[in-house]
Amino acid sequence: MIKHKGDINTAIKNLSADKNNAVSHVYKDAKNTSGILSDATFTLKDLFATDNAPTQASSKILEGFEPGYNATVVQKLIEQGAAIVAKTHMDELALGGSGAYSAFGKINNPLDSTRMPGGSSSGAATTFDDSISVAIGSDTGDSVRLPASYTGIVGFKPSYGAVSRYGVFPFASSLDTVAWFAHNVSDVITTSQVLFARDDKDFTSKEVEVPKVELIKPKKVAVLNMHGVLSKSAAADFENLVTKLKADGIEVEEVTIEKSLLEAIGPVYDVVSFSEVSSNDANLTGISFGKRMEGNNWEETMINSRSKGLGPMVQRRFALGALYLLHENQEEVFIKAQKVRRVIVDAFAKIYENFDVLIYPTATIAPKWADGKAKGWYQSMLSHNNFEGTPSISIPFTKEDDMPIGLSIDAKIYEDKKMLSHALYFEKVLGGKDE
Amino acid sequence: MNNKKLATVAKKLMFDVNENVLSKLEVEYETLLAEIKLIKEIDTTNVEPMVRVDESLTSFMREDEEGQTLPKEVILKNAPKTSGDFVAVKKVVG
Repeated sequence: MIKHKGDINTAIKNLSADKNNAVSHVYKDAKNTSGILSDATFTLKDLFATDNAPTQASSKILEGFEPGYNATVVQKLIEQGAAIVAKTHMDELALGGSGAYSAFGKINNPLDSTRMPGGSSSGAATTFDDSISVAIGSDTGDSVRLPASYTGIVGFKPSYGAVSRYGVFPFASSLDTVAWFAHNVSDVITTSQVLFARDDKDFTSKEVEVPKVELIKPKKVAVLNMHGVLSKSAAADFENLVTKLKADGIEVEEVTIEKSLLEAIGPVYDVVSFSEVSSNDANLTGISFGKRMEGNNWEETMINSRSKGLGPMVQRRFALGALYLLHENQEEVFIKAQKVRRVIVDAFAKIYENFDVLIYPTATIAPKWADGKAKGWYQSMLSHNNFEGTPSISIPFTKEDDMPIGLSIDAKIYEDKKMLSHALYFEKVLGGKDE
Repeated sequence: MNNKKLATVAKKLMFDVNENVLSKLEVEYETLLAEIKLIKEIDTTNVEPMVRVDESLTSFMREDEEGQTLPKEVILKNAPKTSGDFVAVKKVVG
């Protein structure tokens, strides 16, 4: 059962009053029914098809779009009695990573409105208060784990394929993963038990087991060599954690991924994801899908619809994606990026073979809007889990300047149960609330 | 690579790139090249491209059974113009 029960009435009240551009639809008649989630309140990133509300992916090109069916995830939540109280806004079409890019308005960090909440699951994170049990989002490069760290909550990305993507609007198909926010690891586990399943409607889905998960202390923990990028206070806090683990009898070892490889993560992510999305979203034309803005002929209609319906960040990514896929660039850029993806995956795989989990501080504190996203490999490194398909969770770890920093816990692909059992241990060690 | 080329490429994707997007990209061009360089610097001798996470062979057939479909009215609800059972668009062939 869900530990953090939330409250439907308070949730509806808070969501209806949201002035942070975070909410796309409130279900004013939300109710629980019977099932594992019978006392839980949920929100859904507006990327998931629902048969009782539009699904717009925070884009003008999908304004008012009614899929007419429920995504498998939505169906499963309903069948287990969850009260779905709202759909939340995101960086447009799930692209982006700051909260700036919804076509329906900028979303600020609720802890400090001069800072980003992270993205693309921005609305899901910023509306996640005590009245809500779990917020469903998606994670293609870091889109749940980063906002989780920036807003001080738990964010979980399952193994690729563990959760059906039927009815989830695609961004980059080799990376997209249904993911979610919770108040504690136990609720992450309960949600996994409802959502993990092979689905005939999604050929990339697989059976990944999460039967009863109990707290298990890891025997061997790898800590990632951060090449000196951590702030003084984060580094000190991380060192203290390592000391605590060792004192508890755990074998802790620092592991190193070559800096040049870490620096390639962001660029590989950009090339692979921009290319894949320029193809996936080629169907948003205004002809038979997507909001139509008429032209004099079909060509003009397509160009009008896409030019006016797609925001500048999306246009930028599509244009770059198309550039990378041009015949003359394909071998040198796109295929090369796919090869480097494998090199990165293999390097991390060696760590998962030899350790129970890999840990590192998830990110810096949320950047100020005025400063923009920081430069450097650390801002993009979470994408390595998407390249690999490995499970990763970010749990509240420490603070700096009153802003939260998460701890990332990664494990081998399909070993979600193992990773989560160790995450329960880390949650306890860090004094996290378990309800 | 220049803005004209980028605009041409975007046209292939059926949109006119917003002027601001183009100007920003021009400014960022050197940074983008530097990022691609970081990819090119990694040794990928004898490495196959990784196209998908699960590389196990998938080959399965299913029985030819009728599955779930969406009712026509639901699909046509999103169309700005319909003509009977069809989504109406401007003539394709002149």
